[in-house]
Formats: sequence, structure tokens, C-alpha cells
Amino acid sequence: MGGDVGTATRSGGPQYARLKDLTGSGTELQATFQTMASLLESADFNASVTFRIREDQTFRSFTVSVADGTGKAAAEADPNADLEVITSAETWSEVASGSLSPLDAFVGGRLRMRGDLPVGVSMLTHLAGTSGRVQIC
Amino acid sequence: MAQGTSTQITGTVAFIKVNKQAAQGLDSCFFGLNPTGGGIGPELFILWQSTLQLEGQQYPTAGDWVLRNATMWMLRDAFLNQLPVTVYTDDQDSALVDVVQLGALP
Repeated sequence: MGGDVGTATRSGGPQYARLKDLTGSGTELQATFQTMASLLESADFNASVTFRIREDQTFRSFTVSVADGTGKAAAEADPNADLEVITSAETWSEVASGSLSPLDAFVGGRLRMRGDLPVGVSMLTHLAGTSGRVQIC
Repeated sequence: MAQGTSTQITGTVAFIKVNKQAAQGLDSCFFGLNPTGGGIGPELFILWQSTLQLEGQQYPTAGDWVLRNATMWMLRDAFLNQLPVTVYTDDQDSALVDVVQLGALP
């Protein structure tokens, strides 16, 4: 087990970290990923994460990447992404605003992820706006 | 079997991880599935996670534990023998597994 030591109770379960508010420059999907890319420019790791956001039955893909301190957001999938996150636009809206932890979304059956999971831990650690666990298993 | 908008994925088991911190309400079983046909890496699935039960004030029954154990052994066999398994989740955005299938249905 890794990550922060969470508060685990029989009634509430662990507390997972939520993201910083990514909606400061707009609530549009592209704007939230652009904000994420900007925040990642101070990260000490390189990563590429593709987000597949479902609106009804249509998916829109976005990729946030950071390499050597340069963050980028693109409105397309990266076939060589380290990690892929799949969720609905509604859930992403809550995650991006910092009101829902991405890990709560995962354990609640509202988000899927595949690929290099430690990359997700590094990103959540860097983008966390609250204390709490950053690792799911 | 899961119906409606569930997701169906076939692949080989990459890992199984059981957390037995039941006293803290954190017992869980996660596993990774490498999709058949490749991909960027294993997808993470939840076989069970007790906090979900606890938040709903619904404790797992003895029958639940038998089924969890049986399913975990299916995954173990699949892992050891690199057999393809098919999992069905409860929703298209969900990693919560409803069904694990080993082998093909006739």
C-alpha cells in the first residue's frame, strides 16, 4: 500500500485526494485539460495521459502530456499514452472542479483506467488539491 | 449476466491484489487485465471493495464470500495458465466487475 495514510472508518472508508480546481479558465473540456497541462509543467516526471470522455454514446479524446517541464493538451488520443482514463463528461466535470476525487469516481463505478497505473499516482500526487490517499491498490 | 450498458473485455490476467484490512473496512480485491489484441497496458478492475458495501450499510453475506473466493480462484487459474477471461462490468464507465467468464460459452 502506498500514498498518504488515509482515514479509514467502518462507515466512510478511506479519504481520497481530490484535484485542484481545473475549471479556473473555463469549464469546457478542452479548458480543463489545458489547465491540467499548465499545472504539470512543474512536475519532475514525464507522462502522457489520454482521457476518453463520453458524452451520451460519443467519446471525445484528449491527451495531456508533460515532457521536460513542458505541458501540452491536445484534443486527440495518443496511441503511445502511458495511461488512459475513461469516464463520462458529467463525472469529469465533478473531478475537474475538485469536488470529486478521481479515485472515489473509480471505486464508485464511474471511471475506468488502463495502462501504467503509477503514472496516475504521480499525476494525482502533483495535482492534488486536498490531502488524502493517492493510490487505490 | 450484466445487461444494458455494461462493458465486456477479454484478456489475460496481469495481476491480482487482495487487501485484507477488513478491520479498517478496506478489504478489497483488484486485478489487472491485459486486453486481447494489445493496448497500452492492463486495465484495473475491482472484484470487490468492502467500503462500497459498508457505505450502503450492507455487509457481505457468507454467499458473497463464497462467490468472491470462487471468482478469485478462476482468476488465479487464468493467471497461472495465461488463459483468456472475459469480464463484464456493471456500467460502461465502471470497473466494478459483475461477471467473470473463463472459457467460451457454447
